[in-house]
Amino acid sequence: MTDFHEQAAQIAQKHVADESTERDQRASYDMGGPSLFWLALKLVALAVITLGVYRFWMTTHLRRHYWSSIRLGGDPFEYTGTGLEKLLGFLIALVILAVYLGIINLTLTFAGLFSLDDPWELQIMLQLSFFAALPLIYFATYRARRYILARTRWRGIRFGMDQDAWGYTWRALLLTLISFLTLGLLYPYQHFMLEKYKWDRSWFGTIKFEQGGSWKELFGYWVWFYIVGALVVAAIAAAAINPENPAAITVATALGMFGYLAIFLIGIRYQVAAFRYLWGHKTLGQTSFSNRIDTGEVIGIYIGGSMAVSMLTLLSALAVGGILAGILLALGVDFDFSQLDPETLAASGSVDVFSRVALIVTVVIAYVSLIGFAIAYNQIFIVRPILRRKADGMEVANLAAAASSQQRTHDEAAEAGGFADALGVDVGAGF
Amino acid sequence: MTALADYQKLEAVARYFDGQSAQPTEVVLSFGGRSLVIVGLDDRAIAHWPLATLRSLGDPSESVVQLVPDPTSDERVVLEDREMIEAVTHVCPNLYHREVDKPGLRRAALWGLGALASVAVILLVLIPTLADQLAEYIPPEREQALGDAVADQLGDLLGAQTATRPALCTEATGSTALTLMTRRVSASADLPYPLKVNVLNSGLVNAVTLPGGRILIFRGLIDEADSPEEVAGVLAHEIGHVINRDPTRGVLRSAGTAGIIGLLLGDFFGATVMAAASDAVLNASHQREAETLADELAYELMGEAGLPATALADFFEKMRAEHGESSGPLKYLASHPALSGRAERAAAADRIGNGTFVPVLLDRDWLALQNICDVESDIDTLTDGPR
Repeated sequence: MTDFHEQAAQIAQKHVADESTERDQRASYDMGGPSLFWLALKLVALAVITLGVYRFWMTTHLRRHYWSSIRLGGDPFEYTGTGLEKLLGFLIALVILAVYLGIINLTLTFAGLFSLDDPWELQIMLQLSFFAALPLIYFATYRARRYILARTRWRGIRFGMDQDAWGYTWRALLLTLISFLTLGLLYPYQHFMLEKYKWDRSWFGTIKFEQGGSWKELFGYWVWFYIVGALVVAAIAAAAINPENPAAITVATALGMFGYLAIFLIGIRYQVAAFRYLWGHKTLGQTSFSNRIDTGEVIGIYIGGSMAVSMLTLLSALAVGGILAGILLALGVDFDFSQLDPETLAASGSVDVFSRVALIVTVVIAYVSLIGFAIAYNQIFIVRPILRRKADGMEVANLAAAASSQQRTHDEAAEAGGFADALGVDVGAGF
Repeated sequence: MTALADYQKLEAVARYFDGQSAQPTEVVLSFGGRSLVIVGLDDRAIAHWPLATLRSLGDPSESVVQLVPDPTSDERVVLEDREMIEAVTHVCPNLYHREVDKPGLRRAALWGLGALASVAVILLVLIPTLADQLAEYIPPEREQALGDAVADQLGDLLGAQTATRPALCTEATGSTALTLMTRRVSASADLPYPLKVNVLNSGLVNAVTLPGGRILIFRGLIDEADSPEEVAGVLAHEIGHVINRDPTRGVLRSAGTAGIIGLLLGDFFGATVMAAASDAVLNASHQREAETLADELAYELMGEAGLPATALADFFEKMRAEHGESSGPLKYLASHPALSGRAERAAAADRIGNGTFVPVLLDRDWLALQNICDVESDIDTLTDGPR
């Protein structure tokens, strides 16, 4: 026994020594564990069978999987949310939203009919209902994030977020207006200020996060959209002025063609750079962070990942379709898809009920498996690789200081992201 | 507990968290009795966790496993030792058992029913009632402007289907006949605004009422009718929609209910398609109610005009018998559901029976109406039409 304890003490001492050096100053993503692909496929299948009711459990199980795969200082994160509370929260949100949106849409339409002759003006008026939903979308974003943090633990200690969704909503609306009025040029300001608002209200136990830095740093990455855009516009204008000059037209065509690609690349670069910059300026008490995720790698994941997802989804769905077709042929089903068209059916009058039902079932299964495979492959080839790069790229200075954090009380966050679920808002961990 | 005996001598280093702070404590795990014994490196006993309630977070195949003494505890043990992970997996009966939250499920079921009921009330009662109330306040001129705009769009829509944009039929004697018929049928009607009735040169068997009292009868319907009374019956039905301001109320209702079913289904695969389909079903249910009421009014109008109230019902029956319920060109049947008891109620409202009546049009006027499409003008030039 004593031998063992000495040995253990040595291991522990080495461990403590490590604390200030490499291993515990890093986050990491553990690729071991149960297969994410089969988990995702199983969850999607259940969600389909239950007509979507299971989707709350699906999100919960995926989050649980991802959270426990991420380690910080060797200790895994933990997601404690449940599908049931998400379902309940959704139901609460549903009733409130139905009343709100119903009345808003009705009132807008009435106002439009009451005061406008021009059908175009009327159309514009009706588009306003989107703006009526906008405050709710920001509200939902904040609430959903608060719920996620309230259900996240590390070393048994809860994360949390202050209750300030309305403060976030009006600021977000104001900042959106500023971005809109500046033709998007000041979007980095909106991005930074909202990020700061959220993180300045986020806690690990009793220690609060803080977002430092300045929005101007993000602007340097954002402005490339406008530089490339101006180049394309200038080239096209030059070509329009000199329609006889073949060089101008070639340049304009090339820029027009590569403009799309350039915007895609600039977009990813901005995303990654903003992620790195914002994490590089976050602190948790005495603990600070930095992230070395690589833009090239992320671009590679998006391009390679989307190709893999689309090709494998197609192949898998074809395989399922082939198997189904084989079964149907063996059962002697007539493969006449015109049977599904009501007009042809009315004309012929004869109905082979079995074949018809079998065909409908086949079409539904093929459609659903297509979506199921797409979701599952998306987790494998895009969502997880990017999460993994983010986790593996995270470096933490003075993690030991975070150990002084004390437990915080349970935050009910009763609507459990329900508004976001109903409105289809992606809160960044919607999976 | 023979399995436990195998692991009696096993010890492993782990990190313990007391649930109060994030401070790690290096500990040694071992089994003692039916508990997991947690001892600090200074030999101080920290905790005994009963194996029966021990839970593991995450999967045993992961390289790191978190243990919890029971599902509600804040305490954690982070374990990386493979052998110990295996041992715990073997000896703990409920390691991966998650309590089914039965009261929670019951609450969810209740809430679910409550939410569905509330949404149903919102969709079927609240919004329709509100829409009907608001429709009263829309000035007739606005409705008429809207009707003109819709007629224009309808022309585009039909034009897209048949490659040529259908025109309005404006032959003079035919138009006069239509005016005569409209006057006779609407004599007793309490109209919110003057009627504007036109024939549209389209082979579809259809008739539509647009906001603001604009009625479009499709040429195909006149072609199919065996007598002017059948056309008058359809016209009376459409005038019923005008009296009830159905098109305007319909616009308000569908604006209010649009998208609510989308909320219910959430942003889930193909949900937009399903939501659109559900919206259509919902609108059809509103429409059904409106059709019944328009039918009632049509019988009244026909009766007041001294015409057989059964003409409309007869026309429907004939169409159904000839073409079946929902075949392609008969849009009118498709959008006008098979109303049970239509024939009986028509018969009850009928004041003529098999007796004689003054025909709605003289033979020569009926002939003129049938040939109203000899002269056409574009739908853009919508005049006030025959009064």
